[in-house]
Amino acid sequence: MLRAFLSQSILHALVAALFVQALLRAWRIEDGAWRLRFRLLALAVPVVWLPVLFVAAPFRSAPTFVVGWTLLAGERWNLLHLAGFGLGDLILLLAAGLGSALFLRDAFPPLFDLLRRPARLPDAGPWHPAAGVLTPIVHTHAKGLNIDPPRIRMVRASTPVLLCEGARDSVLVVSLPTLQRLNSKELDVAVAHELAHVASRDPALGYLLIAVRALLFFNPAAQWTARVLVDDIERRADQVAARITGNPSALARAIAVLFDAGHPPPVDSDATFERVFWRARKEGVERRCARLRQAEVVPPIEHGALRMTLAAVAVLGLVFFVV
Amino acid sequence: MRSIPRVVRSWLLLVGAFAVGLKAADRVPALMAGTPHGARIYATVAEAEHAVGAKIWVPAYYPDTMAWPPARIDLWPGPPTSVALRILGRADGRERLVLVQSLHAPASPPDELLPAVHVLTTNAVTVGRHPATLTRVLAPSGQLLHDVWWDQGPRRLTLRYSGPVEELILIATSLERMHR
Repeated sequence: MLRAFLSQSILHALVAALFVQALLRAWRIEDGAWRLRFRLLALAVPVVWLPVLFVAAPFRSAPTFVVGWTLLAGERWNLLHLAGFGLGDLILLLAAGLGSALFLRDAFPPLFDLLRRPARLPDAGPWHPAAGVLTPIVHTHAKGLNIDPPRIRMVRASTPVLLCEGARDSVLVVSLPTLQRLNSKELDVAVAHELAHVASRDPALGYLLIAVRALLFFNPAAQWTARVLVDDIERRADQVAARITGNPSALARAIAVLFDAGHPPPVDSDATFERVFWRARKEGVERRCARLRQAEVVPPIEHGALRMTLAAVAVLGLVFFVV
Repeated sequence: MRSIPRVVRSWLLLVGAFAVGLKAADRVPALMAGTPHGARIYATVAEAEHAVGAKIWVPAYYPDTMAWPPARIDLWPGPPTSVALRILGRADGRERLVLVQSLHAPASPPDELLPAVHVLTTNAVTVGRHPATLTRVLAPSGQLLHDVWWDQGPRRLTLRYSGPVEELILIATSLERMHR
């Protein structure tokens, strides 16, 4: 039972992730908000749909269904053997190892930082003069986004910090090096980007994603979906900021400047995988900046509700026949 | 502007491609292992019994030359559901005995579990208290085998054996006696 659940969790998440990715490409969906909905659908498959199937459709494990109706039965891969073990079980084991590695790769550094340093960066003080620069920008964009302006917290840090935190009452956290490195236009659009996160309640979504990733730590496809979902959260905030400021190229510059300042290239003594991860992140940032420079206005999606319905029917229907 | 038919068409194409891809991935292991695709495979008798919700009959007597437990248990969903136990020779690891039983109604074994063979001779025999049919058959590989089958309650039991016919009857009789 447990083996079947784990196996189907991985298979369902893989099918859902690949199908959603193929749909996003086929339909050329660039709108971050819609991309996010499609990704959430893919993530909902192992989290919500699979338990529902196990409770509501136990007949899926019956021999008649497995033999006569399934599109793919993972257990059949155990017909092949490698070193005395069923190939299906070996693939399951490897996949679980990969999923755990992906989860730990993202979960371990923040946990390590928490143990090594205080959880919160020290406040630079409520009356820090730099806050005066930010206040009018925050108020202008908050009004444009129809939200209450979040509180500004200036922190003491040697590297640029610009983020929003707090699931309920969001706070804009800024360090002095951020203000020193960005010009006024870049700062304006970067703050708009953060307020777009606040308007969409992205910090709360971020906590939810962490919980889902911890729950499905063994599932590499779910870990991958959660990672690209974060990219789409950023894409949505980028698009909102570009729309309300009309200055996507300044946002691209700000992103590049803050990344370079916050993520120096690894030195030769660092482990190879650290250099690989840094290169992957750098390329991701470059792609994001190029996207902002190329498409100033993202075309609105047509028939969004219909597409979402079709995607849901297909994904939920396909995985129903995968056991 | 992308119209609704184009959206639906690309969706249908993707659904079709995924269904075909999944089905292909499902076929690969059976093709590589040379087992019937439609059958469900179990490693142990207990697993198979749990899946079908019925006791699988096994003979009490085996010649020493055969290995126990069965190398594989194939389940055909039917109807009626049939189960095949494949037992290998101890020395050469070749398939010596295949015992097929239909579970809820007497029925001939499906070709997927017991491939069709050329029948050379047919004799009426008795297995314990039950009338049975014994056939001498020629497998496509050119191997001479013996089949014996009889109906017992709601089951048809068929044994295909590579070895002396006397041993086959002993195995069959032990099976019949266990479940009288």
